[in-house]
Amino acid sequence: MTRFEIAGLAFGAAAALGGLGFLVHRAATQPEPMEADEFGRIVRQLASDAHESAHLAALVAGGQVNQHYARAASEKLGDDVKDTRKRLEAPPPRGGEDAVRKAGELAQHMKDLLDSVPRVMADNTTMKRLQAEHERIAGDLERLAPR
Amino acid sequence: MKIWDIFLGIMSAIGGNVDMGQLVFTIAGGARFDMRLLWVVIVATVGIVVFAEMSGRVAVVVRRPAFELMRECLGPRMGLVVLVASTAVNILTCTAQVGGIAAILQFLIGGNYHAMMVLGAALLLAAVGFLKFDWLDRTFGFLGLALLVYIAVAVSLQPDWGKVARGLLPTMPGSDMPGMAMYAYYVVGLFSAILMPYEIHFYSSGAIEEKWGLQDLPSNFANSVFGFALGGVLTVALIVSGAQAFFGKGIDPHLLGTTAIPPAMAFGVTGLLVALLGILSAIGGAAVETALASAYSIAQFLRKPWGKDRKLREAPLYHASWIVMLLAGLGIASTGVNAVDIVEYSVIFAVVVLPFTYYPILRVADDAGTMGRHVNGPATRALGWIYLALITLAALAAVPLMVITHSGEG
Repeated sequence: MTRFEIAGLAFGAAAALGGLGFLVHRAATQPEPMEADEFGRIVRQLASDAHESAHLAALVAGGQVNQHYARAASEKLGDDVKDTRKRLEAPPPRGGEDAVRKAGELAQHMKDLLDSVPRVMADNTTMKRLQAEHERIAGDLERLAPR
Repeated sequence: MKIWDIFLGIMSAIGGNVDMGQLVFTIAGGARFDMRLLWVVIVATVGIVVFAEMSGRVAVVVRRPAFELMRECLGPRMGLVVLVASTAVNILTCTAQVGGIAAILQFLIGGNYHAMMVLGAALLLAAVGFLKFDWLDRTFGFLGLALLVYIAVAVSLQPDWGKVARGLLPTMPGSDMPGMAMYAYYVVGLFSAILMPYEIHFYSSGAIEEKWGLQDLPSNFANSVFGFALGGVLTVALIVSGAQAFFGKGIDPHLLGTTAIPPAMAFGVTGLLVALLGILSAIGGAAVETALASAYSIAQFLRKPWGKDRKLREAPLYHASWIVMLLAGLGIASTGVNAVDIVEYSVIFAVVVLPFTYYPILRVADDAGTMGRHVNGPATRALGWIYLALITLAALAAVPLMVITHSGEG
């Protein structure tokens, strides 16, 4: 075995041990409170999802997309909202407890509306109401974003 | 030269420029920076045209593909590092395409996501298994032309053409856009996505697969220029469509389905369905390209027989490699990982291996002893070295930018 290969093996073993140690350390320590910047990123992403959901509702109401697309796109947006909402489960930033709770509620409401799309997509009036509701959620979320 | 002869370039370019992540990344670029990233497409497209032409010419003259040259140029150890890195990037990219195919099939025919993933992977395996190489690039290249609908979409959404023209020159982001770090992240990501290494591995191996000889050098030139320029035009159309549909509206596209909204806005259900068919072909082509590019790289690196049209028993490692790549893509995608996130990582990490892909091609194409009268001319040589410098800069900046911008989240 050459010196290069021995050095490579030693480096690989050290990196694996270091990585394992880091993971054990992470698992054993209390989760850090969410930073305000991270909260801002989450809220912006949720607001973007709300705007997009409103846009989709308008296209469905106008008959501009097929049924399979309407159903699957709503489902995927709903999954994205659910995944993003999970990030709000970290301890909130100091003084930001109410904002985090409110963002979670808005996200849940948005998810419920998206889940209802397959049932109501044939009804233009309901889809227009959904569009307005998503726009309202987007506005509320944008107001929660840290300045 | 027949019209069919340029479909290798079209498939390489469409599969490269409009793969799953590139599609989302490009539309998101328009949504965030309006027309101010258009110049990157021009710069990167000239680069890929230069290097694709060079890699095809080297493959025709030397009869050796890109990865074999890379091994010889960098030595077996460094070559192994590049092989492992580019295979990892290809697995990530292939995984994302398999997830994307499932999503598009859902948009088109409904059904369960996991069932569509299995159906998509089965169709890809059948296509690569049963179609001859030339029919593979013709099929995906031809069907991918449905994406031209985005050019009509871009025009139909009535952009300010003065702003489009100004976007072709480098400009700083405006005050209503994310900051410089995010802009730089998008510049590097877009540049890298257009110059993805698997396009060159696929293209140069494809030239040998199609048994191009010296008489096919004009065909190589036409493939590089028209195929990759078409990819560039499509990318411009995607940025313009993204900007017109989403800029200033609070939407930050990050899902594959969002990329089909502009055609629906412009042409309703018909536009949506044509775009979905085009996207399906493009990301199907990208999955095939990444799987085959890995099979070429592995077999060429280990100096084993390779070739799409060779029988299984004649090139077992090559055939096993593309099958494993597609099945690995299916397996990883089935775990429920976010396909778009995966491919964005793969685009950024691909930048790091870019210089190792392009340098050996440039070195051989510059060597008069090897290339004879087909050696690089002064203009191609100068462009080659300028682009290698740009690629190296992008490679150095990619990972720090990804960390600073939280992978583009801000």
